[in-house]
Amino acid sequence: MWFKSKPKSPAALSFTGQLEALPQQNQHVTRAPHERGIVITVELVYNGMLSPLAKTLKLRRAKKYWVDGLQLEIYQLIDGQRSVALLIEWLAERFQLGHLEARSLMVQYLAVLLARGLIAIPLRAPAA
Amino acid sequence: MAGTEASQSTTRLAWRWFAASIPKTWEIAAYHLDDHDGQLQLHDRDGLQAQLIWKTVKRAPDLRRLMDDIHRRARETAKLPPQPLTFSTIGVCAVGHGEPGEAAYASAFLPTAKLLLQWYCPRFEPAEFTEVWEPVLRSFALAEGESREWALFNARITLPARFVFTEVLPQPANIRMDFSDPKRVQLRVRRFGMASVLLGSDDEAAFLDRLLRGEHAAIDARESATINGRAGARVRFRRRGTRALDQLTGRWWPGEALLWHDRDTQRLHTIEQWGPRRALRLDLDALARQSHVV
Repeated sequence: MWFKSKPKSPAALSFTGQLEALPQQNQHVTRAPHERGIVITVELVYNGMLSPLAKTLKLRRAKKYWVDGLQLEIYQLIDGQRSVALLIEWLAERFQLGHLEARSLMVQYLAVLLARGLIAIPLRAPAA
Repeated sequence: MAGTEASQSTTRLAWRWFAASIPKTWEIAAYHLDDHDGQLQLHDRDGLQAQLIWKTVKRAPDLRRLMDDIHRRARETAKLPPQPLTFSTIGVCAVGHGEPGEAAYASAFLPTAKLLLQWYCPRFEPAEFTEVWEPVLRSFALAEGESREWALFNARITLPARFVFTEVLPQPANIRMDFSDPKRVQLRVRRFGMASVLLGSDDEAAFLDRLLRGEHAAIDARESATINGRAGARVRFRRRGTRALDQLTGRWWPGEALLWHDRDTQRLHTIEQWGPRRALRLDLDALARQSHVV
């Protein structure tokens, strides 16, 4: 065959599986204290053809995110021990939100953190 | 009811045609708010708990026969032999249930609007039904008369029947319901969660000012006030007319907004009213008193 066969995508995670996932902070970032919160620097990785060109094109090597207030509280709760379900419960209790409201807010925020490379969500709990 | 155990464990659910008290853990997960063919799906963390469907029909239906038909079809789909439902009446509803573990149904008919309303309980368990569903069905009332209660997503208001619902915008911890009357008076009800985060270092008046300015309102005056015995704010504002000639000429419509901060539930409630200069307005303070629930 001319083309490499596409790797099989992993089976979709069940809803319960998603709630039981254990998000953890990206350990390959640097955190610096700020007068209000912290500044997290994430190194950018360029894949494929961009990888050798990144230096020549002077592409950005890192991105900085300023995290404070409630965002910081949530970020600090993400320790690889608390599941998504527990984070949702924490948010619901803290602000007396409905479960669906808290779930929607927390999942949206985790997706933002994930997209920015601040956290990772392994599909299975890491071995103790 | 305020402060009693019952009010702490229930919240209101009300729409043009009905009103009921439901467990606080039931939240609207899906909705279709058509006057003549609508539904609400109520979930808790374990999934679907209840479904309420309303539909205009040509004539008064035989409620028990209707429920029996639905039940028979459900059993046919599950390849089970037909078995009649057990019927009873709770409040305004005819109630039918099958064996434990099967679905239960409750139906009511509103003759003035020729509206059939049907509750669907996905799993009938006798003890749970008595504890959870019976109070819901007892509280279920069909809306008739001069005023209408509207309560969705923990935002609530009681309005004269001339006000019609125009839009709901439900976002997590940020609910907005809009109404208007035939004289083009606009009324907007909001409920925000996470009040401390939203307010930040602002006070209630500054927050309401910021909120209205963000929606193209011109602020004429603002003041801190006590609304419903709680810290709040009162703002007078103007918005461009949005209907008929007023829209064409860009005439300003005067309005007033109230906000109160419920620290117990960490919520901010607002009511805004604006419209053509000569149109009859509602008393916002009285509305705020009626609307403070949930």
